[in-house]
Amino acid sequence: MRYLVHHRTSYDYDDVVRASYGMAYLIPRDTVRQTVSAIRITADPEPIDASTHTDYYGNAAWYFQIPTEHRRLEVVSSCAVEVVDQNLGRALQMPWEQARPRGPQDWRQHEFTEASPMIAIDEQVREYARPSFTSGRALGESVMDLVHRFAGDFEYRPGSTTITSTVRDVMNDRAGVCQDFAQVMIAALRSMGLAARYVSGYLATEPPPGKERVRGADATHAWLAVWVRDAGWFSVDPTNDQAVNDRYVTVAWGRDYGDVPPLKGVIFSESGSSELSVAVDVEPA
Amino acid sequence: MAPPRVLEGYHASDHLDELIDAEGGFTPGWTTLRHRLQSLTPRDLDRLQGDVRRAVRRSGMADQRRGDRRWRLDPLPLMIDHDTWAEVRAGVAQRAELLGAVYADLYGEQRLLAEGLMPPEVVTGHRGFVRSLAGGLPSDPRPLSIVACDLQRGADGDWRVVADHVQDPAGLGYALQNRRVMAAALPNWFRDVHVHRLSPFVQAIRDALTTAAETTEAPTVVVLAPGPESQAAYEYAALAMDLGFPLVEASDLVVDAGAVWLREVKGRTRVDVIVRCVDAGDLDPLELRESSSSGVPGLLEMVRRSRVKVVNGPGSSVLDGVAPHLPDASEALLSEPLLLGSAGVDALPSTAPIVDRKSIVAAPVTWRVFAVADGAGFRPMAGGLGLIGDDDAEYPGAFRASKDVWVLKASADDSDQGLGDRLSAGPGPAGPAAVPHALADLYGVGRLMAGAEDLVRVSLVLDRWAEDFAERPHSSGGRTLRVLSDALRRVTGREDLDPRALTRGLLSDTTPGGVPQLIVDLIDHARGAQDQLSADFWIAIDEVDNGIHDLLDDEEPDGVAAAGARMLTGLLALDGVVANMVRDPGWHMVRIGQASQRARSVARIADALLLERQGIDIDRGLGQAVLAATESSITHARRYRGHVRAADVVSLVLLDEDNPRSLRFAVGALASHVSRLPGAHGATRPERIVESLRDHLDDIDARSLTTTDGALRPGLRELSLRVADDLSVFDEALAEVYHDSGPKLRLFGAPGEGVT
Repeated sequence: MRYLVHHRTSYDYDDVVRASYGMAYLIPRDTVRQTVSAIRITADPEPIDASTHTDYYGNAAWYFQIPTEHRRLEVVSSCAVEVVDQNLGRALQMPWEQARPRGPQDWRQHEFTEASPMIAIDEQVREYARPSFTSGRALGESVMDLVHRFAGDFEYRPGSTTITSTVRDVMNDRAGVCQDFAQVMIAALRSMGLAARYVSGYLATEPPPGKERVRGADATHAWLAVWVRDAGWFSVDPTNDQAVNDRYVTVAWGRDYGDVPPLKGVIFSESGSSELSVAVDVEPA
Repeated sequence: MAPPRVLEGYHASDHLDELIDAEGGFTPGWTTLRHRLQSLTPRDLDRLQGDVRRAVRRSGMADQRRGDRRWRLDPLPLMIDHDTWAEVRAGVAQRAELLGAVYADLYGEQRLLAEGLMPPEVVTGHRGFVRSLAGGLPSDPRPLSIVACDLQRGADGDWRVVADHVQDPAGLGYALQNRRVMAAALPNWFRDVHVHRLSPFVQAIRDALTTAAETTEAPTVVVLAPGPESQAAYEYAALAMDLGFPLVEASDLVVDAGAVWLREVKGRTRVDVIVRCVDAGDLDPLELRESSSSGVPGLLEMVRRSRVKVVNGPGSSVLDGVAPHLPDASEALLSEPLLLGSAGVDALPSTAPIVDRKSIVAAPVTWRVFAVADGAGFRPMAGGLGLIGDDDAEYPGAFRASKDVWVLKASADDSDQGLGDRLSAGPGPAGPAAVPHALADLYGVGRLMAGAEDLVRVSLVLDRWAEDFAERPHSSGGRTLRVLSDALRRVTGREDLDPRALTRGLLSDTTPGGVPQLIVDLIDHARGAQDQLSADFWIAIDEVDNGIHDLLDDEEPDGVAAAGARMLTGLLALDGVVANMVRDPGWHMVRIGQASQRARSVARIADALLLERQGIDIDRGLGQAVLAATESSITHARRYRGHVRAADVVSLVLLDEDNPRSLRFAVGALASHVSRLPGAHGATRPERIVESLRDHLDDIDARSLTTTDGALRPGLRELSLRVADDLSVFDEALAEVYHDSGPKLRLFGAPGEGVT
């Protein structure tokens, strides 16, 4: 599939902002299943300094600095992406135990097996994961079983979680949004010794039958991927109870949300609050 | 030979000892000095400790605010002989170089990880591994400029490393200060042996930091320290002063248009090198979000783009965990065996002699050796910091005691630090910077100096009246005394009914409003701008402190006058120290603080004592009190021949342009100093406020101030309120132009926002 992605984020502040510094993970990266072109990213007011660098995980990070006073900040990014389905072939048949990183040769995957700043691993999440990982079961089957159980056990409920929600909170409440589901399932996979990473991106929505596509109705999304020895990474979406397909556009990945927030920043202001609005459009082209 | 009195009973138990060797003789380091040590009497020890303690206090190292956590310096140096130094020197130089190479590898090629020489969890599992500096980019080949290793000597006689310090140069400032104190306290000892002096090394540190900026010939180097409330504030300020680099806080720096700038009141200067004395997590809230309220947003981006050099590199704390893997890393990265290994966890450190009251005892000792980048390698400093006790203490100030370390030369002809007459690579030091926080602190210093002096003077006046008239409450003097003490109680909010208890309390109680509290606040502000104040400042502060302690130690009623006089001496000495400051914006700011406080004090004193007419005798007494409290008695006597009338007193202390203690004089001084601040053009808001007050004073008819309405003199009250109001508006205006670091920083883009 080919998509034109358009993403607009704005902050309206209740007071003057004297300066703003930001970091955006909004530029989709090239991957084995997607090619990105026609990348454009801008901010308003116009930054005096902006620069893209490739981060530790190969993601494109966009830094910007706005020195002029403003009450509204808008960041707009757009690109064209060509995406294909993932194809790990027979590798998903391997017993899940064999997919665990081991020894120095797998050192790059090692950090994805450990707790990270936003993902704690505890006994509760291990207990939850265990039934899906019976001895010798195929990796793909085990992971999809966990995805299905997850989709059945957890309720999608926007606003049910906050910045400080932990894996444990989400496990207890059995509710959250895509980011929470991704992080809890990552914790579950890591508790089994597997390497799992957090992926941020977009999901192209299909309009209801007989309806026109509505622009801006798509959303930023988050899912996860598990490492498959000698074959790469297997991406699954617990929020939508499915393996990732050609309607998923990958933007960036890291250990957890904290490595790849779509937009974060620092302002100099007396402003106490701001209103955020996000509009995403993933248009088939 | 005299019996070794103070050494009697000295024994080193199971540990090796730095004074006595296994055969019971003196170690090579002590050969020359052993006679001096042996001839010490308990009295000598007492004197020595007193000398050192006083010198430490007067250096400003002791933190008067935390009485029990004073910097302690043992009077006996840790002696290191030349052969030992040769070995340690090579080992530390190699280890520092290796730590730099490990940093470069972990943030660059990552060979150590790929080849399995370092387990990934040591690196990627460490909180200090800064991913945003790793991968993708060529890593900094020289990420470390100052490295320190803590060494202990184990049972086999070799010095080994117990900890590496790569985050910040903790202890270096203290090491340099300790030497100053010791050279002054033990001049004979210091002359007897050929010790490597430390001063040439200061230039080596300066060179290491200026050459860290590879992009420019004349780099601007700043020392980024935590605020004055930090335990380490003193030593970083002292280090900045020794090096001649400006001491700054995060709010003094700003990232703009692809560079880092120092925000001085005269304009901004591009910064090339930042010597960080804060944890990496406090550097940049945009990318290293451990702290949400401090740091310089965008700094890490500038580091990544090589627009600024931060030393040591922001990712260096990951090196805290690599010690066990250094032998392998050394073979891999330097192709050499590691010379200086790590000590086992259960190793018994050697002991060194320390002075404990009247005797000398053995205590476990740790030796912190510092090394600075020097070309491609590292140069260790022949000296360092000896640390006694409390192995767990993270910060050197928390140790039981410190020691100076005397490294001996092989012969008298050896050059100090092996540096000879090496010329400086960079330009001379730039000196302190007129940054907002420093100017705010210097203003505070000025206000508190004047405020403390005025309060001491008023207290002394009251004390004198109490001494003369406390027993004669019905005499006119006794009634004057009551008006005086009522007024002082009202102004200070204290409740002591007895005037002598009131003065004693004002001068020695640590309650708000008393002199001790003003001095604590004064020290707080002075710490914030310490690099702008001469070392003499602390000698003067010590004198004030001694006065306070005299009073605390002395319960006799007569003690107040003597102790108050001592405090006054210290405060006048402070004024003398200020008089000798360079005429820069910081100096003007101290003077502005003093003048604004003096103006307030004088107006308030006149109002408090003369507002109410009391009858001719008491009025005369109160007039004398006002003159004494404002140090105007002599001028008055000369001009009015001793005839004290309210109108003359008011005219002299409030309106007289030529009386240096008058309100009018203070406001004139205020106007003159404000007009010489950078950016002043005659019509800035602070200038306008002061000028309007001055004009108002010039327009006042002296008689209107003493015109009575019933028993009151409303003109006095009106003027004192006007002064207080105008100066509080002035404070705000001054702060807005010169002290304000701008709005606070806040984060946006919290997790969860906009993600479904």
